[in-house]
Amino acid sequence: MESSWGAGTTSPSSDPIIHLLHRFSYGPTKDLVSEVTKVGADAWFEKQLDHLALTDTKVESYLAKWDIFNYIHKDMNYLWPLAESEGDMAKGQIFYINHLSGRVLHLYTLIQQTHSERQIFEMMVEFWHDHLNITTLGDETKDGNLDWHTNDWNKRVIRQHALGKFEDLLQASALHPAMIVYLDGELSTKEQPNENFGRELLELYTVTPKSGYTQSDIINAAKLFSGLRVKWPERWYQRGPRTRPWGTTFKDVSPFSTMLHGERQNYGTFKIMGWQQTVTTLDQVLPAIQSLLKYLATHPETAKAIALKLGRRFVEDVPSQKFISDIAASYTSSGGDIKTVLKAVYQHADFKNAVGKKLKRPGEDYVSVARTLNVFPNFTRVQKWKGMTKEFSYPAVVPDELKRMGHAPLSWPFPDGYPDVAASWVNANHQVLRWNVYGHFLQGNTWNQPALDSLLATRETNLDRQIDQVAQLILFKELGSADRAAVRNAVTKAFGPNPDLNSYYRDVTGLIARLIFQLPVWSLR
Amino acid sequence: MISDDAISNCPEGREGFSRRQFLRGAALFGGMTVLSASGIRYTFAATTNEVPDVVVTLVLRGGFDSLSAVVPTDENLMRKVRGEIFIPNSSLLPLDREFGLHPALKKFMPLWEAKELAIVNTLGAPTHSRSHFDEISDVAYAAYGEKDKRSGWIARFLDVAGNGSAVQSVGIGSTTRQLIGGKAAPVNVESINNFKLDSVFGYKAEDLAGFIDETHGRWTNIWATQASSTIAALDQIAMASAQKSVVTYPNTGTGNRFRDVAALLKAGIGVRAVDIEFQGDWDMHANMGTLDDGWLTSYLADLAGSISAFREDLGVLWSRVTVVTVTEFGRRVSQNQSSGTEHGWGSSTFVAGGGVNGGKIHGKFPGLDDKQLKDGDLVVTADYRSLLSEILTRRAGISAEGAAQVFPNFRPEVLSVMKHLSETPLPENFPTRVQTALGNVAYDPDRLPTTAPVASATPTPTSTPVASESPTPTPKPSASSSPSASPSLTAKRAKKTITCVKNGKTIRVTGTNPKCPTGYKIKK
Repeated sequence: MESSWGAGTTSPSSDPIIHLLHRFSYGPTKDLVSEVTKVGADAWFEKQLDHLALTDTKVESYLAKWDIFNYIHKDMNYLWPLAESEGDMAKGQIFYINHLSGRVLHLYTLIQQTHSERQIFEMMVEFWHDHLNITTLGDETKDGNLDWHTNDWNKRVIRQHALGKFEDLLQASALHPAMIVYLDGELSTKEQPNENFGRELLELYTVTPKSGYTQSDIINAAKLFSGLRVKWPERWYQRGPRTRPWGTTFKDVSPFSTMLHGERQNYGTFKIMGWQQTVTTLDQVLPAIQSLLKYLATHPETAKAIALKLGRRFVEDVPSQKFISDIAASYTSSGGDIKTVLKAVYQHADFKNAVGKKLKRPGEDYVSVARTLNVFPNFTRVQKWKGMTKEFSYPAVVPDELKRMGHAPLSWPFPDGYPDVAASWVNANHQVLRWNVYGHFLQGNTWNQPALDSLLATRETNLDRQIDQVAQLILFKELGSADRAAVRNAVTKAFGPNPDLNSYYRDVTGLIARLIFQLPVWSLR
Repeated sequence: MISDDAISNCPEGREGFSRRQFLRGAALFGGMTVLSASGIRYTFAATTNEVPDVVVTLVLRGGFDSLSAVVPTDENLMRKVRGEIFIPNSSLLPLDREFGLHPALKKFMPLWEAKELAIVNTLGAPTHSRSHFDEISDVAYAAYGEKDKRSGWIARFLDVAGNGSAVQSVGIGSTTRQLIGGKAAPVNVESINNFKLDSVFGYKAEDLAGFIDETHGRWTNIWATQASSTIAALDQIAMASAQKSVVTYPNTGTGNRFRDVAALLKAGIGVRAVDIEFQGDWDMHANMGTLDDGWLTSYLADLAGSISAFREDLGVLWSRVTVVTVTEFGRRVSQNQSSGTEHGWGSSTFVAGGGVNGGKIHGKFPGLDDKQLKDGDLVVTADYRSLLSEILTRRAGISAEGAAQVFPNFRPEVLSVMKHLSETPLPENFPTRVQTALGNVAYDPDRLPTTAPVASATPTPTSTPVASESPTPTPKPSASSSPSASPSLTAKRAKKTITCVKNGKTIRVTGTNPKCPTGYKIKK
C-alpha cells in the first residue's frame, strides 16, 4: 500500500529494528526493542528461528492459571469421553465440548500472539493456517463434525511444521481428519469422488492455476484420495452420531485418526500434471499419495506461489517479480526449508525498502495494541459454560471483539484464508470498530487495565513531556509537529489549558495514548 | 455519447464526479459510458431516469421452513409428511387454491390484499450442501464458482450502481461475512445507535471525530482517504438515529431492527441497500411448537408484524422499497422424530414493497411426491439470484450487464415478480430530501418488460375455509397504480392500543379492533 503524508505528520519509523519487529513480530514492545537492540537484529532473527530453544515462561505460566486451557490441543479421542462424562448427552449437550475447545483455541492463539517469546513462530502459525485454511469458527461448520479436529490440526499439522519443511506440512495436512472433513473427503465415493480437496490442493496449496493443470488432473487427484476417511472413535459408531462405514477393508493411516477405505478407493493409473503412478492394491495408495504430494511440494510453481504469499505477508501487497524469483530460488535450493526461505525474505532488499507499506489487518492492529500496553484478557469478565458437570470461566468477549472486526482468529470461512492486502480491509465498519477498540483497551474492559505509569519511564507531570513519552512507547519516535499540536489541543480541550497530571494521571495519559493510536501511522506495520 | 476523455476532462475530475451527478447529466446526452468503482465499463443506451428502490434483504438465518409458512393445501400429502406439525386447511389464511398462509402471518394479509406482497416458489442456491455455515456465507457472497470472494453481492451492487453517499448500505445485526471487503461494504451495526465513536476520558466523540478527520486529512493512502467518508457516515447514521417513529413495532429484536431501517430511509442519507438479520434462529430441528404458541408461531408473527409495521412507518417511502427474504436453505419435507425438521434445500420467498406484482404466488412449486423431491428436499425451481437480479435491474437501476457483475457466472431467468420502475411513478408527495439522496438511476426503455404482468391465472379460492381471525380484505390502491393516493395501509378508522399480559409478559397490540393473542389476557 502506497502512502504519502504532509508536513508535520508522523511518518513510520525507519529504524531497521522497528521495521523488523513490525513485520516479523506482532508489534514492537518496549522490552522487545531493548532486547533486539542488545543482541542485534540478525542474531535475534536467528534465535527466533530456533523456536523450540526459546523459553516462554510468561505465556506458559499465564495459561496454567486457567483450567479452561486444559482443553487446548486435544483431539476427539480425548474430547469425546469428556463430552460423555461432563455433558448431558440426553439433552444433546455432547456438542458443547467441541464448540468450547474451538473457542479456547481462538483465545489461546490471541494470547500466544500477544505474549509469546516465539514471535516469528506465531506469525508463521497464522501464515500457514491461512495458506491451508481450515475454518475453526465452530458450531455449525460441517454440521459440527469439524470442531473435533481443529485443535489437533493446529497442534500436529500447523504448529508441528510451521518452521519445518513445506513438504512435511503438506503431507500432514492432506492426511489430517480436519482437512478430510473440511474439504468433503467424507462424502467421496468410488464412483463420485468429491473434487474439493483435489481442486484446492492444486489451486491453493501448491502449483496454482498458473501451472496450467486441467480438470482431468483435479479428477485424478480426487480419485487417488477417494478412499481417505476419518477414523472416528469406535464408541461413536456404537452410540454416537456416526454410522459405521460399510465395507470390510480398512487400513489405518498414521499418525492421525485417519484410514483408507478399500471399497471407496479408486485404483488404476493416475496421471496428475507431470506425475504418474499405478495403484492396484490398498497398500500402494498411501505411498502414491505421498509421492504426488512430494511432486507438488517441489514443483517450481509451488515455489513461486509460496514466495508470492510470503512477500505479501512480510514485504508489500504486490511483491516484485524479482522478489518472487529470488525467494522461489531459495525455496527450491533449500528443498522448501521454511527457515532458509524466511531468512532470504528478511535479507532481501525489497524487505528493507518496505517500511510502512503494509496496512495492519484488524487482528494485527488488535494484538499490537495489547502488546504495547502489556495486557492480558480480563478473566474477571467471564462467561460460564452451562450444561456441563463442571463450569468454568471463559472471557468469550475477547475473540468476539475480533469476530465483530471481521478477523476472528483462524476463522476465515473459505479455503483460501484471510485476505492479506489493504484493499480488503478498508471500509467504514472496520475503521469505527478499530477506533473504538483503542478506547476499550485503555479503559481496561475486555482486557485488563493497562498499567500506564509502569510502562512509562518517568511519572511525568508536564503535558508536553508526557505526550513525547507516550509517543515513544507506542510509535518509538517523536510525533510530527502537526500531530503533536493536534494531540495537545485535544487533551486541553478535554482537561483544560493546564491539565493536572498529578490528579488525573490515568485519564490524561489514557487520552494521549488513545489519540496516538488513532493517528494514521498506527494503522501501518 | 460521453467519451472516457470527457469524463477525465471534466473539471471535477474522474474521482470527484459522482455517479449521481453523472446520471443526472446523462439524460441530456441520451447515452453514456460509466466507469464503476471497480473500473468496469458500462454502456447504456438512450435512457430515462427514475428514483430507485432501496433493497432490503431480510436474512432468515438457520434455514426457513416455508412449508410451515406458505402451506400446500393438499391435506392428504401434507398430513403424511408433516405428522404432528401438520397444519389443517381450516387454520390457514387463504392465498390461492394450492396454498394458504400460516395463521401467525395474518399481518401479511393486508399487504397481500393490497398486492404489495408476493410469494415466489421455490427458490434456493445452486449448491445443496445442507450446511448452514457454507450456505449462509455463500448466499451473502453470491459468487458461486468465483475463487476470489472478497466482497458480498451488496457491495458489488453498490460498486456498480452506488451513488457515492457515505452510507450506501447498512447491515443490521448481520453475522455474515458479506460485510467484509469491497469499498461499498455495508456499514454493519447491531443497532443504528451503536454506530458511533465512544467518548472516553472526558473527550467527546464529536471532538474525536474532528481529530481523526484532521490527522488523516494530511495523509494520502486508501486508509486515510476512507477515514473522511467514515466520519461522514458517522454523522449520517446519527441523523438517522434522531428520526422518531410513532408506529408500534413488535417488541422484538427484529422489530427494532426494522424501526432502525425505517429511520435510515426517512433520514434521507442515500442508503440504497440494507441487510437485516432476523433476530432469532430458524433452525428448528425440534419442538417447533403449536399453531397457537411456540417457536415457529412467535417467529412468524414477528416476521409479518415487523414488515407490516415497517410498511406503515414508511408511509409514502414504501413506494421505493423492496423487502425480500433470504435464507440459506429450506427444510426437509418430512418432519423428524422431534417435532422439527432437518436441513433441506428449496424454500418459498416473500417479497414486499411498492413495486412488486403482489397478491400472487410466482414461480413453480416442484411438488411433494417422493419422486419429485431431491434426497427428501423440496427441489429448487429457480435460483434466488434470479429474483435478486430482477429486483436490482427492475427496481434498483442497474443494467443487465451490471447485474452480471454483481452475480458472476450466472444467467438470471425472468420471474416477473417485480414491476419496472417506469410502471410505478414516484408519488407526488414523496419527500424531496429522500428523493435527492437516492438520486436518479437511468434505465433503458428498450429493455422494459414487453408485456405487463398478467393477473394470476389461479382461480380465486372458494373451497379453502377462511380463518375466523382473518382481517376483512380491504384492497387499497397501491402506490404504483395511483401515485397520489395515500399510501398508508391503515384504515381511516381510529386505532387503539391495548395491553395484554401472560405470565408476567406484557405485549401491546394496536389495531382498529385489537385483540389479545391466545393465552394473553387484556390488562384493564
